[in-house]
Amino acid sequence: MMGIRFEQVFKAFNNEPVLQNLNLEIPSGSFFAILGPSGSGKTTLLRLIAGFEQPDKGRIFADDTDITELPPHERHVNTVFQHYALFPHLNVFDNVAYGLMLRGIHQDIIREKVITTLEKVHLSRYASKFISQLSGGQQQRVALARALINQPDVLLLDEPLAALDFKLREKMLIELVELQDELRTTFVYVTHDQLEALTVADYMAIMNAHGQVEQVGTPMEIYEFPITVFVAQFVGTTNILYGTVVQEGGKKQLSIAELGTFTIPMHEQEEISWLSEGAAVVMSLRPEKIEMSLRKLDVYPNCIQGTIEGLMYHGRSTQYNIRVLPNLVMRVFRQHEEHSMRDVVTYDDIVYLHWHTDSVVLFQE
Amino acid sequence: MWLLVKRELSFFLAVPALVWQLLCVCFPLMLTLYTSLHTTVPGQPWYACTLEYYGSFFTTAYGIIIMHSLLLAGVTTLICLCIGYPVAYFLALYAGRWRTILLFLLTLPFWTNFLTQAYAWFFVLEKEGLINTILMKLHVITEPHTLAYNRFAVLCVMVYCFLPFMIMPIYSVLQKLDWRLLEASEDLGATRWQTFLHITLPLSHVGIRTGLLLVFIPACGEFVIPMVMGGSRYMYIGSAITHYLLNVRNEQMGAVCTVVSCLLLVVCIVFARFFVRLLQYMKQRR
Repeated sequence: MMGIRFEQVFKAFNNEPVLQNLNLEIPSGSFFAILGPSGSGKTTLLRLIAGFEQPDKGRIFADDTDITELPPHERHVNTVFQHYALFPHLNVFDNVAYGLMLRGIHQDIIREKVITTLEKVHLSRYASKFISQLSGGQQQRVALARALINQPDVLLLDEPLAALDFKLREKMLIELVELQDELRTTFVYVTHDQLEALTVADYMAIMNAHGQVEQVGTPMEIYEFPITVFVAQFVGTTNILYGTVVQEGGKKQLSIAELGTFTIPMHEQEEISWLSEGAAVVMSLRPEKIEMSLRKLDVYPNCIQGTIEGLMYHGRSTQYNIRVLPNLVMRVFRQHEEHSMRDVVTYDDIVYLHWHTDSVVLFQE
Repeated sequence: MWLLVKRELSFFLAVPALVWQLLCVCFPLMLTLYTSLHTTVPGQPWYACTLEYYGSFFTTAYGIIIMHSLLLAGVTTLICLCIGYPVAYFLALYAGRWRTILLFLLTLPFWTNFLTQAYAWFFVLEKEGLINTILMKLHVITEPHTLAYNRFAVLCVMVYCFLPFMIMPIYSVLQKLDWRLLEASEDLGATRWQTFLHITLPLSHVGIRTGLLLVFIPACGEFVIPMVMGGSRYMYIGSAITHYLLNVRNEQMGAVCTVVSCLLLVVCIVFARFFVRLLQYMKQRR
């Protein structure tokens, strides 16, 4: 177990900055996911931890030791590569035994350890197979076993499931979480798939396209309380509305042009200093937090009216695209709790969208 | 008919090459074998055979000649491997944007006549040549040495001429090597040297094997380089064949030399393969 700390790390390729003054703390023993769009420098970050790249500026620490200049083979860090990078001239057994073989450990101990590790990833029957004879999922497990047998302090996973199909990916995700629970090794998991990240992570970091960390937190914090518009939009789906703060009856309210005024959560009114009258504000409202109905409901403090323009059936839910203004379409998710819906709505219906005061998140524009 | 042609297109496309092989490789080989066994006593039928020439071949000093040939080819191949592998490795992994230019330079000697190259080497090896001059100027030696017209000169030019045939196949294999495997190896705790030993080397063995064959086989039969650089003082199997066929016009003896050296090469390669297999087997058993 080992925590990793980045201090003011800067990295550029061909004068193109990839990571900019990155400060990041990966807690020891956690399942830490790094989520970002392609080209956000996630893989570079991983390669810096593994030692394949050196930062141009800044330091990297493992617990309290500076590992910035340590070569890869001296770090207690192992990687599961995106395309597995298994050795094609060795069979499964020798691939997994590779790390131990290098350290000159006795044959019998190697054999014993390899067999236990292969059992852990359900591959003991395949020990003598060559890599080309395995399926994608099996190769993935070999890569995992090969990295884990060295008992690394930190395990890096670079989009390890990207090449697998949906069902297998789901299964492997669960296995990864169970494995991490059992080993308590620090897992650093890089992905561009938010569902994967939300599923596995204890903590996650969201990176933007400029190689900066936007937010670090638990999956729930990230999803429910994003601190920037980028995070709100990148993780999950959301509706973004622009407005200004107005003072109405001793309470601050949010005024959105042509839509009306809406309530602002009480705790935000007190805590956020920039929320003064006249301030330009961005509001994020998740589609599943909107209640849609054909009649206006009085229990909700906020309500707007719109016309259904699009309708996408997803199985467990349906996404509705509702035009509320000539230049504004809101997205609404509706869960399918029953076989047939009570309140059937269809194209061109006029509907009312409601939400609670606490369902919105506000950002400074 | 047209349908047949279409379906078996690959076969029909191969026909010219097959015909060429048959006419220019298989047929001459059979002819050589026939000549080596054929008796020249007048009045004998065309199928009359004799082992007489083989007998005279093995009673004379040809054993030494063959040994020398194999030794020269072997040493040339080894030196080519030792020089060629690092060059190919550098070209494939580190040359970057210089790669094209360096590869061009590598093939440049092929564009000039061989004799020009050989005489260029004389300028290097002669008594007043480049090496002697430099060594004299540096006061390493006090007196110039003769470097041309000896086995050393032959070996130098042999290595020089065959080196590209070693570099190219190794380069082409290394160039396709997945560098992520090297990273994976380092990630698992291997030093650079261990990575080379356990990953790069085994994964480039196809290139090494091709290079060894491409150098060893022609080097065995090489006769121009020993003739030019050795000043006709040394006899190798290639020189012996040319001697019989072109100078003495003893076609039977020439054919015998050819057949024996051919068989010897086959034996060498089969033995080498067997040796490699044995090593692999031993390694697995361990």
